[in-house]
Amino acid sequence: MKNKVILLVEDNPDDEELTLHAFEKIKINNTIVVTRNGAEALDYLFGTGAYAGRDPRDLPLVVLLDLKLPKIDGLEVLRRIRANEETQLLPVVLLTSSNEEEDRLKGYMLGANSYVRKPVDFDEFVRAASQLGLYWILLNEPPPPCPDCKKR
Amino acid sequence: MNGKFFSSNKDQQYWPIIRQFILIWALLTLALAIALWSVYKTQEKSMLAYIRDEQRQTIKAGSQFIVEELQELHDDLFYLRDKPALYNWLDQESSVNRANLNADWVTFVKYRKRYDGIVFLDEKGQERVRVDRAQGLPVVVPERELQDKSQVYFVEQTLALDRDSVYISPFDLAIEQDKIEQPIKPVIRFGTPVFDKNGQKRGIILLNYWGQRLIEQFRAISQQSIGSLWLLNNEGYWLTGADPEKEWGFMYPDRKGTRFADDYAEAWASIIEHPERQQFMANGDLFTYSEILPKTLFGDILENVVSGDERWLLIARVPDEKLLTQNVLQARLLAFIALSLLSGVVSWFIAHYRTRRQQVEEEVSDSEARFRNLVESAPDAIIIVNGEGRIVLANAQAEKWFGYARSELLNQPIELLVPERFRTHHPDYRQAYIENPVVRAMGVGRDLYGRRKDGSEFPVELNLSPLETKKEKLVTSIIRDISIRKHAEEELRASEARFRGLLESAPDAIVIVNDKGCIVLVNAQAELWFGYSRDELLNQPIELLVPEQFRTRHQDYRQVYTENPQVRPMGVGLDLSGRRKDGSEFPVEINLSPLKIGQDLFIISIIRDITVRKRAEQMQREAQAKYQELVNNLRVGVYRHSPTSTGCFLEVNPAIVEMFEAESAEQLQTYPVNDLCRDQGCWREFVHKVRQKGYIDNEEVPLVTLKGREFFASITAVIKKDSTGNTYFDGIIEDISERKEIERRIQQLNTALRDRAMVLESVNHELEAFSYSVSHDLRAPLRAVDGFSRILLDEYAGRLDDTGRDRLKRIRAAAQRMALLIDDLLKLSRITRSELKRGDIDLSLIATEVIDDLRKQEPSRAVQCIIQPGLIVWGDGRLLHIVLDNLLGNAWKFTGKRADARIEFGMEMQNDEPVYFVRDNGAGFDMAYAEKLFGAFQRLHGTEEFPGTGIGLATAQRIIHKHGGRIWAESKVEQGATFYFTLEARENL
Repeated sequence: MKNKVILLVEDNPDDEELTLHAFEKIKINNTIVVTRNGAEALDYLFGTGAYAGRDPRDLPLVVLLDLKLPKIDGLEVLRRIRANEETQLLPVVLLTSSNEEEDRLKGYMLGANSYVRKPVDFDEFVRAASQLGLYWILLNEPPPPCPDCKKR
Repeated sequence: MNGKFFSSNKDQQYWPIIRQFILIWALLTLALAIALWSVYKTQEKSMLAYIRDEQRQTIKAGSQFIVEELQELHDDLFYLRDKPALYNWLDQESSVNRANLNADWVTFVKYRKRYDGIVFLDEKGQERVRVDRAQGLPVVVPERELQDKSQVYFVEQTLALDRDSVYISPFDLAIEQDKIEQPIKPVIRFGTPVFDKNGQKRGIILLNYWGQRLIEQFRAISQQSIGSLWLLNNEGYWLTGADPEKEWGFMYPDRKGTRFADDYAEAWASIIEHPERQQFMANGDLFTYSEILPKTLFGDILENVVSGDERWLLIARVPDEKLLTQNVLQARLLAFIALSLLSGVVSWFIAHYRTRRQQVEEEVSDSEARFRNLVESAPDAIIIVNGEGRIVLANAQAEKWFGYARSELLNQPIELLVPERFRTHHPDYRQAYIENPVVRAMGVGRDLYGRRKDGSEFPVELNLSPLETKKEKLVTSIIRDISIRKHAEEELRASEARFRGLLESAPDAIVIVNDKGCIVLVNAQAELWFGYSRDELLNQPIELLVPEQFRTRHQDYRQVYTENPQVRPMGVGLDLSGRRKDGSEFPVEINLSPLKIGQDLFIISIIRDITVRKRAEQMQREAQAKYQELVNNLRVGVYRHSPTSTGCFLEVNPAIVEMFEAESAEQLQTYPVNDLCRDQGCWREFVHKVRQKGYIDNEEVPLVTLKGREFFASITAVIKKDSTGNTYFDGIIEDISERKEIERRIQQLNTALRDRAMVLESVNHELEAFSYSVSHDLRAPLRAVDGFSRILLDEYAGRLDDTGRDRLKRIRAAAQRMALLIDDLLKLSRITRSELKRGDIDLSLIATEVIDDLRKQEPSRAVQCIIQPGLIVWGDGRLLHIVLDNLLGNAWKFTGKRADARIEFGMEMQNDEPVYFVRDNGAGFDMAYAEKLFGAFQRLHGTEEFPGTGIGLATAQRIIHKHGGRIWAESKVEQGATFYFTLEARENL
């Protein structure tokens, strides 16, 4: 389980750096794959485009998804993840600056597992990242393979 | 009448006799015809029966003859066969034996006339011995003339037979040397085989029957019969018949078509189809028939007989002309004619006497009927009485009046019809009259009465006259019922009383004057109205009742009327008055009518008090004037219009005249309304709509005034019907040009408003997009600033001095404050955008929750909180929560430095309006800055002193404004502050 990948979808290099730093600070050893936009994230998950040949059945442990992304925005990425048989149960955490109620509502309606606002205060940010890591990497049990779920 | 009858022409006189004669004669002739016809029919029937019987007898005789004639042959044939002479010869054909045989046979033929010859043929068919008959005598045929007959059919047939069998040949003609012998020789051959002593068949013996003998006998029977009797063979060829040419047809090749069936097809068909019918009619002929089977000629040895003919047919025919007894019929006809002529003569005499007797009878009864008619139709009752006083005649009128049926009256004493009180004396009067009979009225000077059957009486007038016949003296009394006349007199008296009643009860005053002008009659109403009693008025001049100033003139008028009296109202066009006894006057209406009784002229005046009517008319006039004034003063146009599209206004009020800028109502009423339309034909359309619907409300029609000014009119119309059935419109017209103009302006404003709302909407959209960006994008850089500053402080702290570290900390604080500001700003804008979702909200409950939250955040603080319970308002609960969050949050914050902190939430009434407040005893503020209090980012305290972004109160104000309320504050520095707010009440929405 420890070798499982965490997929971070983040277009802002500052935020990426800070997030990785926070994970590093709390000693999370899992590989963190970073994709810079929604299209790339989907390519990674479905083994297409630049990630052609990757086994799509090898799913990440959790996806940390920013909402505001170039090309395909976060909500659309979430929608496609849920629409795909392989990834429909994949845990997705929306990690974003926005605190708009509308965003929250849409996120949950599309099946987000969690919605976390990135605090401006870095200390709080580190706290939030550590709680996220603890919870999704160590505490949470990912869904088992489910052949019957394919035809939903 | 009699004279007239005889003077008419003779034809007419005899016509009834002729009619009678024709009737009687026709009947007699018919009877005669029926009688003769039935006699004839009976005769015909019995004759036919006789013929039928005779025919059957003939057939029977013929048949019997043939059978008896041929029966013998069997024995003769066997006699010849069994004779020793034949056997001897067969045994030994010596000339002696042959001579014996010949002699034997010659003797046989000589005495047996029915045979024509005998032949013996040997088994090869060769004639061996033969005896013929020539010219009536037997002749032995010489041996050299004997022929070989082996090919002849009857030889062949007979040779084939067994012992004791007989062959009977067909009845045909003898053929010699292949030719029919002439003259013809009808023959039937009988043959049988011959065996010798040894039982050896040696040949045959043939016996020829002389057919002519049978045929002649048969013809003899036929001639004795009524019809003809014929013999036919099985194929229907004639053996004997009517025509010798047709006989023996089967023997002659050229006569093959001469069969019975060819002449009588129907009869032949009947024989073939119905052999059981021994007698039948065919084509009007009577046929009788029978058959003879040659096989049965010899009794019961059928199996030993072979016959060439299966049967012979005996047919007797009686032609129809023999059946119809023509002569008889003719004789009958002659008899009929003679008898009918005779009956004609008899009929004439009968008719003549009958007619004359009838005529005489008719004349008698005619005259009697006329008399009776006269009596019956008389309008008076007529009763004839004989010398004993008994009724011998009574007419219908007598029956009717006295109520007796005629039978009840006849032979009764006349006293039956006299009232009982006069009965005793009546016979004496009667006797006296009989002795001195003259035509006179009975009981002159007395009232006479008749008595009805029911006992009632009625007044009568009676005339008597004597009537002397050969037999006796009679008295005729003619009686007249005079009860109707009496009744009429009473009627008159009653009518007079009725008239007086009518006069007195009339609602009008009635005064009758004579030609001198003197009152001769007044009724009760006249007394009442004029105040005089009847006695005071009678014989007074009529002028007494006329107002004084008119009296003289009235006399002249009266004079004129008397010269030309007619029914008419008096003083047409004048207001007439009557004068009462007390001198007062009252309006009247008077009708005059002349009344002529004999030579005297009277004038009837019928006077009516019209005071009440006059008053009513006055009131009506006043009411009308009032309504007219009302209509004239109305500011809206009121009109009446003819119901045609081309018509004009019938009536208008001044408002319409002004509206159309006309000089007068009369001028306007000459213009067809169609000409006052701005759009051509608008009025025609309007009128059409009204006619369809019956009314129209507020139809907007553009019109023009007479001076050409255009204006918009709102027209109402409704169809009405006056008492004579003519229709018209009533309605009102209003000039709505001003209203239209205002409407147009409102529309303009609405359009502008709509445009502005659209701009506002797009601005709002942009603002939303902006807010979203702010929320997401402005925060990211701040996080980078804070995050990297923190990393620097953590990981590079060793390389920085205290100042550097402090600067980094300031960078971080500034970034975090900026994030806070952004969040508050977003909150504010979100409130501005969000829509109110109102409901009943318990403000007290919300305040309690907020305080509880604050206590949880700072459990160390001791603050006295007073919350007025049960403050329910109409608003958006989420937003009001924010308001109290801010206000109570501020109160909590600004009392932070006081140990005896106190926060109060409640409501008080100001100017009848609930005002909610949050009061504290905190730091307070200087009222000089109260204006700035609710501006965004405005702060009255330093951040160090009391933290905050300056957005809270701006947010609260915006929410209160959204709720249609106001918010304000009162405070003094260090003496606490009170924030007041109001909310729009529910009813105001």
